[in-house]
Amino acid sequence: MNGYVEGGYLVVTGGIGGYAAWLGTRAKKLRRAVVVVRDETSVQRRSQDKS
Amino acid sequence: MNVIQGSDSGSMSAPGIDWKRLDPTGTKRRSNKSIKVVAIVLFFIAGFGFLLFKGLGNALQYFYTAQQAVQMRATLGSSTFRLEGVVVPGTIKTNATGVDFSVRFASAVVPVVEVGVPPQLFQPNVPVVVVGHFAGQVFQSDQIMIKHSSNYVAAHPNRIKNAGGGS
Amino acid sequence: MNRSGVLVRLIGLLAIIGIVGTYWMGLVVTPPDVFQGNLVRLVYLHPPVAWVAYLAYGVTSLASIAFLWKRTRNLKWDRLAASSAEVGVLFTGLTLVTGSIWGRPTWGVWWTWDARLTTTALLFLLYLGYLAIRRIPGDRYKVGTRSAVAGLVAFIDVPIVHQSVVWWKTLHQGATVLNPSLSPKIHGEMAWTLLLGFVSFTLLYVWFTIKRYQVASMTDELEDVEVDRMIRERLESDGGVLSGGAPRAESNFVDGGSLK
Repeated sequence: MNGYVEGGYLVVTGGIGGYAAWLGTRAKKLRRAVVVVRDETSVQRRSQDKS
Repeated sequence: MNVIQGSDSGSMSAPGIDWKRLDPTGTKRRSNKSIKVVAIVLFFIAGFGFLLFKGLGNALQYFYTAQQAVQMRATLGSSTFRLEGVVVPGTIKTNATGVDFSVRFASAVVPVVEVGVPPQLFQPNVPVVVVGHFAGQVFQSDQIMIKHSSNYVAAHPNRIKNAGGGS
Repeated sequence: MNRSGVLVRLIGLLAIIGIVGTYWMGLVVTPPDVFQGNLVRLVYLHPPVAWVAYLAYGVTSLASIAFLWKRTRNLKWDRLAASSAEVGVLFTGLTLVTGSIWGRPTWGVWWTWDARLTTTALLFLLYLGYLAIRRIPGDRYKVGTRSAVAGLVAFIDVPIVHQSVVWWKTLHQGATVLNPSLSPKIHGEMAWTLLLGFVSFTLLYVWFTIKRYQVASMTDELEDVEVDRMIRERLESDGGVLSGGAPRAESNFVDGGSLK
């Protein structure tokens, strides 16, 4: 078209795509960590309850 | 952040224990951190200061209309400012160094001598902002900016291309 | 997956479809403009992106008020304010960049210090500052209060940005839709495409903010667990005095650059 239009559309695509990717990976990692931690704490709570 | 650091070795902790000595890695991390904090604070101070300077110096009185400029010619002297007006049809003359034309606002017309290549949308009847200064009767400019409007009208390929120059 | 999870997915899907549709309409279907030619196609991106920035900061302000008000005081509002502001900063950045790309061929300059551009740059810096203030450590309610006040102060600039083209002489044109006379200056399929752009980017904002909120609450949860663990380990070891740095190695596993 003339370079500028394409540039504008690419920048917006890159910006929202990049943020979406960052959010996605971060959410995935955290979800995994939360599951692990929830397991651990429930194990610890149980052992504390026994003592 | 410094407050927390101070309280660590101060009254909050158990008496007689120097927390910093006990945890040298932590101390190093903290000093790196405080450099970072100072850098960030400086960045924001510089940023706000710069914007304030630019805003007060440019944005409040971004341009004078051709009419205002003509009225204020004596006080403006040869100082640099932005001049706004509509390009008068039939006055555009391209030459080796740039382009000569006139801008009009209400009844005031100012001849402009531009050195440099005008933007691609430069054409008769379009409002422009030119940057430069008065030199005698003409306005000596080295930059043209197009002040287009917020009207968007579909171009019909079958009709005359660019009827009236838009705006 | 539960019902709200499905809803979030649906919003995301609609946002993507809408944006693809906007691109298609904007780049292929709509005609060039009489004056700007093909450059007019940037109108389908730049104003919707700028609108999302306003919207995001509006939500941050409302959430900040809800957090400050004693009857609704809840860390949920603080998380929402933070999430929305971060999305707002992204969209303010995109506003500045797309505006610059549009300005170069139409105005003839990448940047100029007129009131609209200067106040928008200020908006970007103000909310970057807001995000920076959020990172100053402290008790969560204290951080929340501090941030809420900062967020409300920063919001003062939003109406100034919007009205700047009315209050001052600017190079930037006036609003196409939300102008003082409220008469849209765009018609036909160009107007529909612009509307689709506004709707799609708003949906994207909603999706991003919900996702960001979820990340924030998971981070908070992990931090709580971490603090619990550190306290417990201190209590378990010799009075806790000598164990200062011990639990850090483990905490790195879950805490890669959190919002602390």
